[in-house]
Amino acid sequence: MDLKQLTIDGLYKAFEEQGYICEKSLVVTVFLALKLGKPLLVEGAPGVGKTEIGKVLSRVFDAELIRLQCYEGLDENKALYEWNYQKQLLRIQLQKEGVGTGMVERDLFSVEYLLERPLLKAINSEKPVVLLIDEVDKVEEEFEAFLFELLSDFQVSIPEMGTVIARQIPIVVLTSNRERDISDGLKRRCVYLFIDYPTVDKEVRILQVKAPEAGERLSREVARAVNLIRANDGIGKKPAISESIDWARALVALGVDTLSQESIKQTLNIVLKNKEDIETIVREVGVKALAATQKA
Amino acid sequence: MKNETSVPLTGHSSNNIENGINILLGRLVEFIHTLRRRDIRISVSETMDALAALSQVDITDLEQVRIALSATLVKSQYDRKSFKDVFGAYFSPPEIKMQGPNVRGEGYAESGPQPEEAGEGPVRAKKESDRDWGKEFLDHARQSVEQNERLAIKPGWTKRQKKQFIETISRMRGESRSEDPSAPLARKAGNSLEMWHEEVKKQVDQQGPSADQSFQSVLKSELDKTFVSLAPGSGAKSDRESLMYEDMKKIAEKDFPRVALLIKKLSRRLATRISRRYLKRRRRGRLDIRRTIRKNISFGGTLIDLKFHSKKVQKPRIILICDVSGSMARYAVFVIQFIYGLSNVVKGIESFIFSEDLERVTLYFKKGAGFVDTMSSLIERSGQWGMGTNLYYSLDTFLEKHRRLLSPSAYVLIVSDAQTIQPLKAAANLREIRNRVKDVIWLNTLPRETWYQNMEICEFLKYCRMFECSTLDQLNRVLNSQMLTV
Repeated sequence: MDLKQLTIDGLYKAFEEQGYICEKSLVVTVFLALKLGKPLLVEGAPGVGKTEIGKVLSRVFDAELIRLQCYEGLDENKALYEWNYQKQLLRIQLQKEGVGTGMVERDLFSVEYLLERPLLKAINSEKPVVLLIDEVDKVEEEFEAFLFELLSDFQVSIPEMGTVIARQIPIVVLTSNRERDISDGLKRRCVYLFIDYPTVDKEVRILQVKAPEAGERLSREVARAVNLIRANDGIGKKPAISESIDWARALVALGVDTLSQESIKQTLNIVLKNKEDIETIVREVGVKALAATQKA
Repeated sequence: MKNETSVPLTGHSSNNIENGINILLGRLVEFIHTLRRRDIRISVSETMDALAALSQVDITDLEQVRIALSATLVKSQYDRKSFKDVFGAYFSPPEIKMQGPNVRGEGYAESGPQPEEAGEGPVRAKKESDRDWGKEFLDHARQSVEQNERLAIKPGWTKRQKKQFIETISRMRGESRSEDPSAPLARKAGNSLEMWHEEVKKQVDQQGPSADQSFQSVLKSELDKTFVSLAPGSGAKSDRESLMYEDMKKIAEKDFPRVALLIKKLSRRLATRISRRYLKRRRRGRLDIRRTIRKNISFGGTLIDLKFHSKKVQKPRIILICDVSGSMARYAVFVIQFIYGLSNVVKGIESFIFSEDLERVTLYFKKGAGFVDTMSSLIERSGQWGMGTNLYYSLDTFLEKHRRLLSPSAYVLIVSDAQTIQPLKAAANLREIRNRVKDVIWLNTLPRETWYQNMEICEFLKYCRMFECSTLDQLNRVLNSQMLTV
């Protein structure tokens, strides 16, 4: 798909073709980020499809996906660039041995000795790329500040070389689970999108696409039960969409075509991943209530 | 602003378009000012982004306009509600407004749990009404500034609230001083705090007016936040310094906004202090080849200065346990702000409140709501506020239900005046907790000189590091000390 010819309806259709079920409001926001050439900051609970937006965009635009997975302690050397010290050292040794022509210091700090990390790779790429900066809320504020230059001007400064300006503006998607507040500076540079857990109907549509073998009836029952579980604030980790899909598939694998108390007891661990959460749901919602979603 | 010329206004003559663009710009700026008055932070660059976004969508489609403005101006889910209200007031056609506030939201497919609108979305609003919304938009935009400001009034406000809002706008124009527009929200929190208020009212008569005022002041802190910086002479260093040394139960109502800000800053300092990136290591580990070569390039590759790997340091987990019993009510402002401030900025923190029993409140802070909403909902749903103190029972509950949180890298941070029944049993529970975590740090609002006359405190001192913490300066010192050694 060509970015210049992009329309909202076209993008919506392309998302659907890639199996990404969403509202048009989401597509309008993505469309705006693309048209304005701004990074898209996607916030929401874990497992609502934030990262998937980056992946879908790379498929829609047939662009390479460059992913930077954020974590505590991530620094510029791992995210931007690093000098190839071994190679530099070999070069110096060879020079000492009299091999090769005269070398000046700047030769040692040239592109030849530069190891590109995801951020530099994204802005140095000749072809369009999608840069996915995943779980940006996990990095320290210092690193966030470092991202400012990249995301506002699409350029980075390498002290030994100078400023590297992007050859083309990459499509940038940042995701955050809201474990902590993202700084205002970073937010200011982005177009903002919040994704909440899906409604029952939307989840049914997703299940029909991702686990068609479950059939509409079971999909709806699973979606309703998961919706009921998510409504309980007492659990530590709410089920993600992928866990609904896994649950539907697990039920199909067991030959279940409708939710029953028995099948829920057997498979609740697929959708809830710790003992306390399972106990909380059994105690406060009850297996019976989950099974009753078929009648709702 | 080149973007201005690209705003498509189909169906109008060029004069109309130019006129329309000017009106649109004026209206957009006015709209943004109203959002800012509702505490939504919008920069100039975001305003420009909003204009650019409007040039990319069908401006005759109300829904697309809303999404464009929302995606570029509002960067927090919590602010979306305010945005929706103001947007409805500014941009919805009059007949939709007349149908009431709830109707305005219909037909807008949000990316979340909204009524399902499969296959519809932005185009729907236009088709539904099948009218020239662009013309209506321009007509609507011609309304006077005063009319528009009145439109920004929240549905359901009482006459008094509306009056206060109008007064606020007057004040923003440099006229008489009045109350902040967020007053109704703050009042809501005030109602929620009533319970705690009532419980400690008896103490108020004995202890002077400060405790009584503190409840109302919590609310006011939200209100006046916006205007503190505008007030002449506010933020003067001497004032700030005196505030730092003032006992928090004696701090005057007018100073609460600044107290709130200071606590927020101090909490953030704690969050950033425990960053592990720039920690120096004493112990040597394996040789770090990469850093060694890098360092020794300047010696022609001869390895003279060796660099070593150091073990990665995990950030400590903080477990915050706050006393919200009747005896702590005098420190209501401190406790409320401290819980909120710390729980919002420290990643992975587990927060609990206790009086007669213990309650986990971590989830309230994960919703990303603002101060007033978070604390209102916490106070409304919790039964702990203003009750008696039973630390023994509370720690028993903690050990029974949340034992898994205790790990050798965890710090337990207790905020309490240590006035509890069954102190010996409580101390035994505290010992058990101390044995399972890295350290227990106790912030005590009672003066240090009284500790040793107090049998309970002497017992607790055996199993924790206790710091006096009744002023902001003391809190600052504690947070700056090597309290959390990683």
